[in-house]
Amino acid sequence: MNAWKTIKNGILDENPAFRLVLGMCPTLAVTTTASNGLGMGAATTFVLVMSNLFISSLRKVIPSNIRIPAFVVVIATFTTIVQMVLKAFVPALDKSLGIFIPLIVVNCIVFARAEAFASVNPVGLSILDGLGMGAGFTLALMILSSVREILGAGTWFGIHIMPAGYQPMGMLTQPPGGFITLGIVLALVNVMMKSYERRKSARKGIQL
Amino acid sequence: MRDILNAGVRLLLITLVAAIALAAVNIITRGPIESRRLAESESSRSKVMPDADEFELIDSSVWANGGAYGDMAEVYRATSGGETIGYTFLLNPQGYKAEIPVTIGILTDGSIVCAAIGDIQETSGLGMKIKDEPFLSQFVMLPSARVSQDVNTISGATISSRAVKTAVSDAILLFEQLNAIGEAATE
Amino acid sequence: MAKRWNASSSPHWRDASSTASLMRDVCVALIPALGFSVWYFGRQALTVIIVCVLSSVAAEYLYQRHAKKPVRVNDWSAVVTGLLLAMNLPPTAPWWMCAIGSAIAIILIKQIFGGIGQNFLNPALGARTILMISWATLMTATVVGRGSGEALDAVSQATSVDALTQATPLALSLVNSRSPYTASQLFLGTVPGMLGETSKLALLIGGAYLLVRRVITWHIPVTFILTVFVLFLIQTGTVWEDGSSQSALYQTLSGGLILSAFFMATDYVTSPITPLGKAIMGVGCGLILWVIRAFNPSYPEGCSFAILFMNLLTPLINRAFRPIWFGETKAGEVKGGA
Repeated sequence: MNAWKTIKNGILDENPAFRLVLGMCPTLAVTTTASNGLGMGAATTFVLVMSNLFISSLRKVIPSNIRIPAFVVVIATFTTIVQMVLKAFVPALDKSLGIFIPLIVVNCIVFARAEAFASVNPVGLSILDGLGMGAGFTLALMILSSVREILGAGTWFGIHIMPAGYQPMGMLTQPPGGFITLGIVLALVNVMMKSYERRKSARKGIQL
Repeated sequence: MRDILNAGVRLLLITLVAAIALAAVNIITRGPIESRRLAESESSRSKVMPDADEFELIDSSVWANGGAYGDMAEVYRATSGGETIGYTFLLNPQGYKAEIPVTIGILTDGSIVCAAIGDIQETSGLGMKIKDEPFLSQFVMLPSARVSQDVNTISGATISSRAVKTAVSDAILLFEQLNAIGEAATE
Repeated sequence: MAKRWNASSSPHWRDASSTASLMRDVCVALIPALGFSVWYFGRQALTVIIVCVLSSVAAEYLYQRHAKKPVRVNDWSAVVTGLLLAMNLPPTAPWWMCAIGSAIAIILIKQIFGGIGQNFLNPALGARTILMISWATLMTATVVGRGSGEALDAVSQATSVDALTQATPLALSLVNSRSPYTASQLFLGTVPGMLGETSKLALLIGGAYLLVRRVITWHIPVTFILTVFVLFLIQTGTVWEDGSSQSALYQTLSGGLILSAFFMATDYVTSPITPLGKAIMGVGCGLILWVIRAFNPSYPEGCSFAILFMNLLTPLINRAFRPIWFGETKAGEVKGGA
């Protein structure tokens, strides 16, 4: 497993939000504006990379029967660090993300990668996996939040980009809009992946 | 038994290191967090009382009257050049979804300078409109006696609008008390 | 070799009805109400109706072509969805909102789940609710139609609309309990409101046509309306009081109740199959409608939500109250030695 493949895995093949369908709670809740999506993605990536790094370096030292509390302590520490740093230096983001920053602790992505990858792989690869998964998650959040913000409020990152007479579709920035948009994007991603895989195996000469 | 001890000690070490790291970051970030909080409430006060150059906190024991003034949180006396020109009030009434931080500035003659709304999470398109000019501008230079009649609520956002109106009315009530005390003191 | 035997499973009873003929009957039943709306609200109502129907048909055709399914636009179900959606929109609805609503109803609520017979919500109501949450100010900009006498003072204190808007009978009852609308105004429909909901007379004529043609049964409409009437009678204590909006008859004749009871709640796919199930749905809708109108300060109109709730409960009702088969003593048990 080389470096590039690990990262690409997290962005495309095993994109945590669209393919593994993990981390749905923040995906639905914070994607109301693009800056929220980006901020949440960055915060989660930091926690992912740091926790993967530490858990991987300690993987020989943590006994298997207490690995869950050990993981939780590590992940919670970095989540709290992120929260304190945001509160001090980027308070606007802290206010708009609100309770979802501490909830990074229970974001399935972080725990799943700790258990499935970092605890059984060397440090270098684990860092890359954290980066790839974080990037994939951020990409998913950006796609979703851009759609919801542009169509639902007429702005992107707070800048008005729709024409003046545009009536924003309010539902999209509300929870039902989150679910519906996510469903449609998931459907489209699946359609695209299916046709991509069909073309790939057709090229390789395999009959499906 | 040895296994349990072994596992326990390792977990203790991990947790110890984590606690030290957290304490370090806390020390670094504690200062900025506190100064931000102060700066924020300062800026709301300046927004509703632009002519004031100093604000003096009025201790809550002066006005906390068992909830007579609704959700009053902070009261400041605004002075300019040593003279009291008015008061600012910060209230947190319950809106449709969460609390709405309302800051109001009232001059000593009883007219409202303006009202400012802090961060709110009301229904977009309806309750969020209380932050917009058409609603807030109704309060500018309004004599406090005319609040209940002349301020229109936003149609479809009754609860959010009423919360702000109630807050302003409560502030006016307290203002009248303070003003009476203040005037009595200067006579 | 010519086809000699036609093999099919029971039931073998055939009659002249088909999906298309049933849908056409519904269209005919809607004509009185649609006609009244065009006369009362003018050309803008006609635009709304035409755009809704055309977009629904286009949406269904395009989706079925793209998804490589057989194109069944000729079963008229898209036309009916378009008409029902139009009836639930205000006459001032902009054309793009009608088109988006139709697309949502046909593609998102009906086709994606499997097409006709597979939708879990009433498509027109689901779309209308989504439009309501998305463009609340546009959806509540109700206007006065012609022939309604002198203009009444604007009670709704709207901050944005500048046309001659006026509070609907229900919106008034939310703000206070005085209302200038008379019983005959409410019944004939010369009041502000959504396009198709105002004229109870026209709707009742349509509903009677549907009953006579056996398109719907009496269970849902009657139980729905009766439940609402009785609950409001208990709550307000009077059947009718001049000048007041707090009376059983005022509440029953206001808003989308009559329209919903006859045309929206009775959709085959999303209502229970057995008569008992239908009655339960009617009572449930009425109960939820009353709760929303009586206790919720934000929404004057509870019809759409009441019906959508019961739509979601319909599979449970069908399962709980399924008819006894031949050979069962009661649901689930079979007679020994059968």
